[in-house]
Amino acid sequence: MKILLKIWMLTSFIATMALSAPGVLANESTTPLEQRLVNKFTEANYSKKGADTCLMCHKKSPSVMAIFNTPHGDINKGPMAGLQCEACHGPQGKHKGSNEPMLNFGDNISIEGRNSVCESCHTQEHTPFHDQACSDCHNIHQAELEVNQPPAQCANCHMQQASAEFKRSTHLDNLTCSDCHNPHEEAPLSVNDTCYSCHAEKRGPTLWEHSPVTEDCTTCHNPHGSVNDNLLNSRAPQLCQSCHNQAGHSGDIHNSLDGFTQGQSCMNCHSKIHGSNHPSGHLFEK
Amino acid sequence: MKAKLTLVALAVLSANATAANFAVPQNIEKDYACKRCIAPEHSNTVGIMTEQRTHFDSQYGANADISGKNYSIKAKNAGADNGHLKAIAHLGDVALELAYVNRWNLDDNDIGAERQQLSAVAKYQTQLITAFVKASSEDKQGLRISSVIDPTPTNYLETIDHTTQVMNAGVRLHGDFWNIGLAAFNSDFTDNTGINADNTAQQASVKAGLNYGSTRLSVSAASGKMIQDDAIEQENSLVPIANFNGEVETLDYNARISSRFAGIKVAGFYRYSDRDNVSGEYEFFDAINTPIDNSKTRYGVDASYRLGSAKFSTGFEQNDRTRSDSDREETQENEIFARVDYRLAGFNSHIKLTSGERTGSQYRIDEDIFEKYYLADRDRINTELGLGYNHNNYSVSLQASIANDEYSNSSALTESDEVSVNADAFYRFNELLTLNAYAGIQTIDSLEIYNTKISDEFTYFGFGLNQYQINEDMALGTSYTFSFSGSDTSVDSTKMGDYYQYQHLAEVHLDYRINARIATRFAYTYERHYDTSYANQPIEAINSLDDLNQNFTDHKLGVFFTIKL
Repeated sequence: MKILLKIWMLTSFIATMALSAPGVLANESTTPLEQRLVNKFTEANYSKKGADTCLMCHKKSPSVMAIFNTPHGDINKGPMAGLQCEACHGPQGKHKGSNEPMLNFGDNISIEGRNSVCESCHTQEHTPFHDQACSDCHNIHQAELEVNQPPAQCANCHMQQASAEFKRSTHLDNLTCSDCHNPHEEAPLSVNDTCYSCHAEKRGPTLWEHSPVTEDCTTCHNPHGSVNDNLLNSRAPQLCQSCHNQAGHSGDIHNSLDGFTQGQSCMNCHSKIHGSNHPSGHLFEK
Repeated sequence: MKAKLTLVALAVLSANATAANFAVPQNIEKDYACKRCIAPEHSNTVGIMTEQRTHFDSQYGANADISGKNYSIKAKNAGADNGHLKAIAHLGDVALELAYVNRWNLDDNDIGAERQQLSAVAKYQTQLITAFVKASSEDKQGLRISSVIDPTPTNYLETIDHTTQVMNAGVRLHGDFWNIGLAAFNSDFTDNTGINADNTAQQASVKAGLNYGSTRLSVSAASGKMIQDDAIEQENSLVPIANFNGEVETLDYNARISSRFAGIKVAGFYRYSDRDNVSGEYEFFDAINTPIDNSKTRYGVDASYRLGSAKFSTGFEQNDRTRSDSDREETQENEIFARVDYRLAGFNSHIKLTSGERTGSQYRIDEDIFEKYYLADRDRINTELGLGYNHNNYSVSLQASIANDEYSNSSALTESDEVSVNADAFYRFNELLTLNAYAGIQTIDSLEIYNTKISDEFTYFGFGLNQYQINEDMALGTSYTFSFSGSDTSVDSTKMGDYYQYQHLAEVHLDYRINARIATRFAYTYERHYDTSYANQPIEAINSLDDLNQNFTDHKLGVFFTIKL
């Protein structure tokens, strides 16, 4: 019943937003700019001289010319061997002189609209279940993916995760998002398998296993970064005590500077916390 | 039902609307005689670099960007910490690639590890088939903190000396609207010090995809093994086995489908992951080892609908887990969200509400013991807000979220509240001068039993200013970042002490072209780092390591030379 109540509340929230936002209920799934471009595409008024016409003005822009250093700029194959600039940006029409808009891959074109250009050639390559336009992450005029360039485009949406770069402990000091995440991949590895690809010593199995370790590394660690050492969600002994509140030690309230809180805290004794292979290691001490 | 009705009603409203299609036309005749579309000549370059540092080791490395018709060599600071090198040769449909990657990181005062990975890939690709074989070997060496009871707890620095060798191979067939592939890997881990047990993992997988119009379907299955058969220390004559002969069998299934029509996107997924530990169970003198099995099933659906300048999304996800030998063998978690995005000219915004709930099977514990936090019943609420404005020359964006986790009364962790705000801005003064700035704050407050309060705080701010080409031969840039990570713990109103870290990082660089062939970069970086932990004070009960607090200032002067060949 609780879940039905939540569905009802969230539906009401969406409906309220829909009715209160001005202009939202206009019956169109294309943007106004998109509608103009659809008309331009129908007219198909392409330039007679291809890229030469475009470059009369845009040659000065280094970011435009950068395309000739990429596979898309190869004049023997791909878009430059076909309609050239207009293959992706649409027919020139009255752009020159009257500054009629071109397809610019900005936010004012729908994701479907922008991706329809890329997907005319790349349908088999990628299956973007990520609800983003290709051009949100790929800068077509540069050889490198945006994700390899600072500031990475992933951070535009995932600001909180990206900011972990500056935390006390972090993976982002010498790893990039794409080292662990593949936005095109339809079947990513499970969380622990992703971690094992660098931390192979943790996969075991060990003679004595610690249940949360085998189940999910993120029970104790935040892979992006943490204000605690070793990417820990909180520091010991508090992290350990969020499960082991009564560990059988004398005095379970560890509020003074003693062997339970100093040095490696609980791991002063339970040092093999990821699992032990010693015959007497059932308490992860050896 | 209400959710379904609303979505259906919205869909009917725009039944005639179709998404714009700007596919590249294939049937238009063209015969261009290009005059201007000439690629700027690629300049092959090589270079050397050095970074002289006052606190850390000085670095020396080589750079290269060389490409020919059938090969390319790229190196960035190769030979220095965190440098890498890659060489690729193309022989018809076959590509051969060699790569070296170095990764170095510091965990604490002079305590850290270095990874060096060598890999070789052979790849064959045609219109129909892609096949590859990859071999890699990675050495990890360094130090980490460990402890031993001898007979009092003693912290010491343990040597890391690991080698991981991986063989990976796969083949994929792809047509216009389908693809199918097989892949397998074998990974051998060796601890050259003998501290960790050596192990081996293998996995074989099959994957297929189908595109039909705007509908995509992908399915995959993988079966794997993780094997560990190291010798067991013969502590006394009662140890029942000489080697562990441990083995875990893994099985994974995935399916995903997404479709777009008339402004609506719907997607669904199913994921099953099973870990079956088939290792033996033995009676040791202290206890019996019990291999742990677990399985996870996740599935969900989501839909989004674009209406004018707004987009509405909603979704549901179920996450069920089972584990053996546990206080609670089953947990069920569901999560539902609703999100509205709204754009108007350069302005964009979104609000997202998420609500989740975890329950499970009966919890088997004694009355005086509390539930483990990752198994306990939990209610989760998260609200996220995003605001942004983009203009040709400037942009600002802000994201804020408030989240609350509330655990059952009998959980060891009672409550956790998180507030996070991140902002960034960009301003382009002119074609050549840009400024970007960023700032953020995050707090996480948790409450545990025995009135234990943990307050985590993270703050950062900074900016970057880039002046491209002051004149034809000179460009200048600078950046600065401050960050603070802190965690305060109080137990029953007793404060535990300082645990925080801060860092100032400032950099300025100058690119100068000496002549048409030789370019240089001079860079200076200032780093002020301080971290402290109350746990580092020596006490009689344990033999702890020397002071682990870090308090240093590092000046780094970098000089880079690049020569066009």
